[in-house]
Amino acid sequence: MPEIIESVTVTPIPSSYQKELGKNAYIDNIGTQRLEWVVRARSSSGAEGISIANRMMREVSVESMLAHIKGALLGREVDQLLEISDGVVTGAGPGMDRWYRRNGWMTILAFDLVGKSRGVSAIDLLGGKKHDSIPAYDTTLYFQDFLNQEKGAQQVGDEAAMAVADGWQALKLKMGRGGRWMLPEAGMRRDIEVVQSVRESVGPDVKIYVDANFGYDGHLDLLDQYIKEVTPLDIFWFEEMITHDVDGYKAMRESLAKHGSDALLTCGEVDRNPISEVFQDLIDERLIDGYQPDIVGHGFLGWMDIERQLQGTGVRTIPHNFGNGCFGSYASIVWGAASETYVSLEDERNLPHYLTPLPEFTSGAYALPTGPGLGVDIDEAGYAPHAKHENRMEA
Amino acid sequence: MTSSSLDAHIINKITITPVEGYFGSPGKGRIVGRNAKMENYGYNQREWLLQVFTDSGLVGLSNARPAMNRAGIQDIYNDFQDLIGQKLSGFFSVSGGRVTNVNPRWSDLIDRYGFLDVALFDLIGQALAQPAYSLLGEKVRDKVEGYDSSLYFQDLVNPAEGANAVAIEAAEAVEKGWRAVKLKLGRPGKWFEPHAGTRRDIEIVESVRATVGDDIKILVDANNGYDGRLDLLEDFVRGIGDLNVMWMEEMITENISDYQKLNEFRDKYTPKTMIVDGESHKGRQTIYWQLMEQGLLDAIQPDMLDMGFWQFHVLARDIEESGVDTLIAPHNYNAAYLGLRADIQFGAATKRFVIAEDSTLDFDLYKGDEYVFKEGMYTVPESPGLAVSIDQELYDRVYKQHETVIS
Repeated sequence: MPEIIESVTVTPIPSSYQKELGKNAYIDNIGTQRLEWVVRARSSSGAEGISIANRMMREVSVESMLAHIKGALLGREVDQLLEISDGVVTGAGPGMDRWYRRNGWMTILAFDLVGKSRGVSAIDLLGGKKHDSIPAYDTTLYFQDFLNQEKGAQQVGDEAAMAVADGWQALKLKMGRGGRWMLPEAGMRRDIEVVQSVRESVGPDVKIYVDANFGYDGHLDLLDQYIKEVTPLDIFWFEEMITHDVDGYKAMRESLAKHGSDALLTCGEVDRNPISEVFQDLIDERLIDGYQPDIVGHGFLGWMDIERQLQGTGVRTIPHNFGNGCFGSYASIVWGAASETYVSLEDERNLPHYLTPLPEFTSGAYALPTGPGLGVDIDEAGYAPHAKHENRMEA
Repeated sequence: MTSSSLDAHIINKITITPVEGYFGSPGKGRIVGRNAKMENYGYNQREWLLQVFTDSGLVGLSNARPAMNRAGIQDIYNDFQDLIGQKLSGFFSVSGGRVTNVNPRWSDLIDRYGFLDVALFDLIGQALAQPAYSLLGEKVRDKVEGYDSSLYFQDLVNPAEGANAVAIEAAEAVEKGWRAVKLKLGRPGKWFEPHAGTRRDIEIVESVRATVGDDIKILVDANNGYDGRLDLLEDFVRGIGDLNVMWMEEMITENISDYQKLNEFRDKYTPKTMIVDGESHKGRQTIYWQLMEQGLLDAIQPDMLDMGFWQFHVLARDIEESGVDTLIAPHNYNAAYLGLRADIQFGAATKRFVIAEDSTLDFDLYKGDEYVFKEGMYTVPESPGLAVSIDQELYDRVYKQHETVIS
């Protein structure tokens, strides 16, 4: 008797940040809470695979999502979800490509369910662990200077110090204030002031990443000045300082060299069809060092394919994870554990609620999960208040 | 008074400054949830405070938020450069204490930046020692009613409470003084399975009515969440038939045939309920005139800050002259402190005005004590201009470091 998926539920569950998150270069305040669209697929053996359909819900309605999930999963044999050879996943199961396309989140559910069904870790299904722990960076340092307006740049410095006190050893600061909310030069000045404030607050040993969400587009002169002034403050990576473009990235490489920076250049979260042409050009010309399509958006199969294409290029895997809530951290840890060139987990630091606790976090890094699948389960007590909004489908 | 009285006032500086306001005080506030189509609104709302200074010492205020929603500070900075050095007499024709026309030289700029004319009316009013409303016409009401417009999909913010989450916050609004509340509906549009969403929408209106009692006005707004589902829309209208709903807003995207059906449902199940729409347009688009001329639209809702005083006044005049019965209820979400005050001033001089949309934000920067809020009504001030000033010490200490200066 084959093991089939007997029921699927989709439930919106709010996930909260530890504080209010402000703007980035282009988007108004993020706020204090987002919604995770939690998908649970239960098999006839009682195993349950979990993922989130947040990205799908950006584009479609619940009605459309349910129809897609029903077609993809309900009544499906668990063994048909993934193609596996010698205990390692090699691709989509028969006929599953069409369902996984543009819905990478579903492949993570497949790894979780297949892993739990077989009693093996999703890390092993991905080829086995390459690291013993996964470093994480705090990604919640938005334009907090606009929220606590009296403190200004120092507000970011103060919040960075709190993150370090909580155990994080790497921080990402949102930059690009001149992109929309401030005049370009004034924005650059505030960006520099924020980096100075944070470095002063956290000391020399904490890694600082900066991410401008393209906020320096059209202002390579200001970007050069910015790089010049923050390089002495020891920046680990520069992310999306400008829109992906070969000439622009050449200019950035020259700025880094001119000012003596050995920081990484990273981008790619906006690549919806990785690796698309312009990013391939940036990779081929060695103009970027890290590539960042979203972990849940592209899923484990998508990222396996990306990693294959990155082999030998020197470009490292740094999946984007913002917006993936509680679930995204589990998916990132599992992927990172099995990825040779993985750098660091983008950590939203959501307040825990509907999932079992994350692995232990020490010295700025997460331990690896030990259970089957993703090593995470639903905490039914935390889930119960949300069950009234559950959309249930049964085979 | 004539335009010549305004010659002595020359614009010499403009500043734009972000000012955060909260749905409740910072740290103690609440999250305003999603509507039928968009993610959570959030924890706060910001005013992009526009200050227009003259060499005579006057300061006109407005909220540049519409422009900041569309683009960025650079566009405003570029486009407002031309205002520096202009006499206050140059923007509008003023005769007998009334604004009678816009100077063609500035009509394009004022059309694109409707909120700019709120600051200009504030200045002109101060220069002529008249309330802003009186530049439009005689006062037609001493008080303007406001409705709490912040009751979004709170059931998804506080899932454990379900529909009651909205009722709890509606009760809080009544406790704070509002006598009219608007409920965001349209759950079939995206976030719920359509039948479940319709049931929840009805359940919420029922729950709120049961909680706030019979004397509170209930308005509903679906942000077009019933598009393509006239069957469910009829279920909804039937479901709220005995709940005394004051208006139904944006139940579906506006088109003649669907609006005919909506009017049929309304006439059949809840004949006293108004049908209102039009927040995302300037108001003179063909579809609205067709809807108005065919008697399918009871009130039209262009945005207060997008339109500004002058364009709204022209719209009201055109409706009056056309002989249709449509009323005016400006959209004013996002408008924050100053937009609400502009809405109140407009309502004070506009017969067709229905009610002011109030985001219910807390700000500590503004001083507008004449806008006394009591039993759901704002008193219309008699002081010149908008009758609002800012706490200068607070501004200098907290907000000035964030201002962009055009001079």
